[in-house]
Amino acid sequence: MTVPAVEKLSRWQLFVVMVTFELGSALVVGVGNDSRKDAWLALIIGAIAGLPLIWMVSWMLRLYPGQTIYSILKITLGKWIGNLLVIGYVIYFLYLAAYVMRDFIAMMNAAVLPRTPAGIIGFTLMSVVAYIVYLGIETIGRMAEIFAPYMLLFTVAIVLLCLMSGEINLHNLLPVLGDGWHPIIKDVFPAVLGFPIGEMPLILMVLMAYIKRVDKGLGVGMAALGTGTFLLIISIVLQISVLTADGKARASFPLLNVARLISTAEFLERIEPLVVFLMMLGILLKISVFTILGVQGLEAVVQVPYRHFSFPISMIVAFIAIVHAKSFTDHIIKGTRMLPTYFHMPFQVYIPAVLFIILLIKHRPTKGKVGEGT
Amino acid sequence: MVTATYACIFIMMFLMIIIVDMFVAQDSFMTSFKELMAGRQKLLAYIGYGLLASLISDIGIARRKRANAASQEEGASK
Repeated sequence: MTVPAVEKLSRWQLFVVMVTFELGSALVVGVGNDSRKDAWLALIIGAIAGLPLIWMVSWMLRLYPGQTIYSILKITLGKWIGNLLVIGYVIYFLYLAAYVMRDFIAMMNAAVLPRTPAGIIGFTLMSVVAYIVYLGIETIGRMAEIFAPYMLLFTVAIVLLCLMSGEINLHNLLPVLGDGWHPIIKDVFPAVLGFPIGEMPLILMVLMAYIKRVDKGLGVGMAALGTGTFLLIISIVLQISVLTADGKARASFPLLNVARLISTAEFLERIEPLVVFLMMLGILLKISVFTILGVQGLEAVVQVPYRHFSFPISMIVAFIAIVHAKSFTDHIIKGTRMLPTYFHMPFQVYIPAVLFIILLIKHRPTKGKVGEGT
Repeated sequence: MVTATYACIFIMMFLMIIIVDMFVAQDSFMTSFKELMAGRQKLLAYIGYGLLASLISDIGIARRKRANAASQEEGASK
């Protein structure tokens, strides 16, 4: 059995992985459809609600430097319960990888490869993902480092081209809070908090163990959440101001529809490939991160280096991505009805919160120690 | 070990998507299974590739273990 290399991520790499990860499929399918014109406000509230989650996760990982959430679960809750929860996380991460992959297949079928069977797209992409996972977490860090400038550049280019083509109508965002706070709060908990905000602390639970200075993880997490949310808000404002709230809610891929409308000086038209490229970068990274988190969980349970699982597990993800829903509508229904309540909340909030409380009780300062210290 | 883990994860995930479908569509287990797999039998080839890869991994791990044990024995005898 090979001894796994001690892999490390720089803080910058962790930051770009998290930002690219947050943008990933959120750019493709859009977020906050139930909040309608106030989707940007829902995202801000969701990000504020995500801050305590990031703090909680980073506090737990600071207690056990260099350990991932899997090791912490096993240390704190014992071998049996710990392993059971780790398997739960493995299934959850792999299901999310499959879910994001289905978004990608649908987008490719709709925009670029309408006659290519989903199976071919799935197999090709998952082969690349399997290779990325095999190369390890450092490769994902470097990949994100290379992708990040392109993502920023393309986002700025799309905004500028929209401005130049005169398609932006900021009046579409008014009135603010037209339906009051109720629909926004209902949308934030659990939909927006689960996707994309809650996914940030989720990956921090594993990836923070790979940075050299664990104490800086909180700052990196907060900065990534802020930057990612800011870029998503720009994307959402763009979608609503160009397509209107109804148009955004109806569109399967709102940003793609925005790109189709861009026409600058009757010269720069049909810039969808720019958006497709932007989405591809984000989704490739997102699927790779979910898959590597899943196989690392398997390594924690069966004590076999995760690289051995990269290709077999990638094939399961490709299979589940296509089989899990009968149609794209069915896929979206499962994503909006089932995922937030039955998957995101337990794994992103409830389990970490219970673990946090247990660790808080275990590591609380005793009266004697406090007395000695003062 | 890789093959056994692979088979377990596949079964668990497949059962999970059927259960999710049963909840959403309010169907029975068999109806959900049949509908999800309708016209997608070719995709089972993926599972075959995965199985093959995991078997190769297991053989590789076993060979490496044997080689390590042999070199340790050799070192001890010297």
